[in-house]
Amino acid sequence: MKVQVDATGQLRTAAGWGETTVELEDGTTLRGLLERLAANTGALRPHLFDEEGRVQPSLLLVVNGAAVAGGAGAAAARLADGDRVSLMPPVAGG
Amino acid sequence: MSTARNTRVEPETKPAAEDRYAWQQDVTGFGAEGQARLREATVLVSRAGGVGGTVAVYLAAAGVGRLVLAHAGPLRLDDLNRQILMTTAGLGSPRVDIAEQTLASLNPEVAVETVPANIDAENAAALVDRCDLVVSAAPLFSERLAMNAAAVASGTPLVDAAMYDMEARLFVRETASDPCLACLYPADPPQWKRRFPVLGAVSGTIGAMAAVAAIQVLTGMPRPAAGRLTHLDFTTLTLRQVAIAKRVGCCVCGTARPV
Repeated sequence: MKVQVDATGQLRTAAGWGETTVELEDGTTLRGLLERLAANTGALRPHLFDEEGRVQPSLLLVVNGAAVAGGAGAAAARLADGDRVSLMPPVAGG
Repeated sequence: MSTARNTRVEPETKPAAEDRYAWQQDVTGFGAEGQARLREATVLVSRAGGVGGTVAVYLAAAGVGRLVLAHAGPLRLDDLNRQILMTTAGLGSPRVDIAEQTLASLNPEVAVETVPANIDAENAAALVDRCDLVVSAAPLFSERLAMNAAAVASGTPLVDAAMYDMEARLFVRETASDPCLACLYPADPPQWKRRFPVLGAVSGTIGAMAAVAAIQVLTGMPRPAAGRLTHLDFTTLTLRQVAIAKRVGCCVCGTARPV
């Protein structure tokens, strides 16, 4: 399956792209997508996971326009072909 | 061929003080009542930089009663690409002093109180508790989260405005039923860097949007930003909103229940 991914904020800077298409095995979870992105681009890992390997608690994950309920803890949600995932890290520029 | 112009000149009269706000009182849903509510309001803005300074400009222009500006330190040259309350002549002077002068020249009817310190867990409650609304625009999450905690504790509406590079965000918590900033950012994110890429026009845009949101909350106008994260992306010139749920077990707003 293919999912569309867009990155904002410091994630966009670290990734070097704003949008990309990722091909995944059917049934891949949101966390699985994040693992794939971190494996492809090492600079993304600290923005996606903390030192214990948990999804960063202040990373807002949005699937098809809706924030994933429960925040990063709900990264077990399974993705489907055609899903659009937005990765929105915290921003505080003033 | 020249044409004679009708150049009728109106007699000069001294404008009445209320003329300052005449055009905005024509705004749908605002009116004289909105003006009166704004005049009675006290708003805390932290800090007075690219975002917060723009908020302060528009709140002062609109006739908010009292502005409390919190920002530590002297003006530096590398502030001036975005901090529109500041002036080159003010380099080296305390930022809040320059901001106060600029705002006084724009609208002397607005009382401006300066706090030459940044918000922290120690001073947040004392500052927030006497305000009707707080605008969070500091470059550090520790300051934003301290303001949020004080705002939640006192039931004070909070407008959080932020930017990074060519993106900007707006988040509004008005009532206890809305998620708070800690629902969105439960911890101080370790990746955030104090220095961020910024065009002054981007920080000014979200500052102006935050001023609109503040005026909407203070005057009872429709408040489309409440409870949502509004994200503005200048690379695609798109704006989107994401509904944010209260975080179960939020350590600040606390009473969240699974939905």
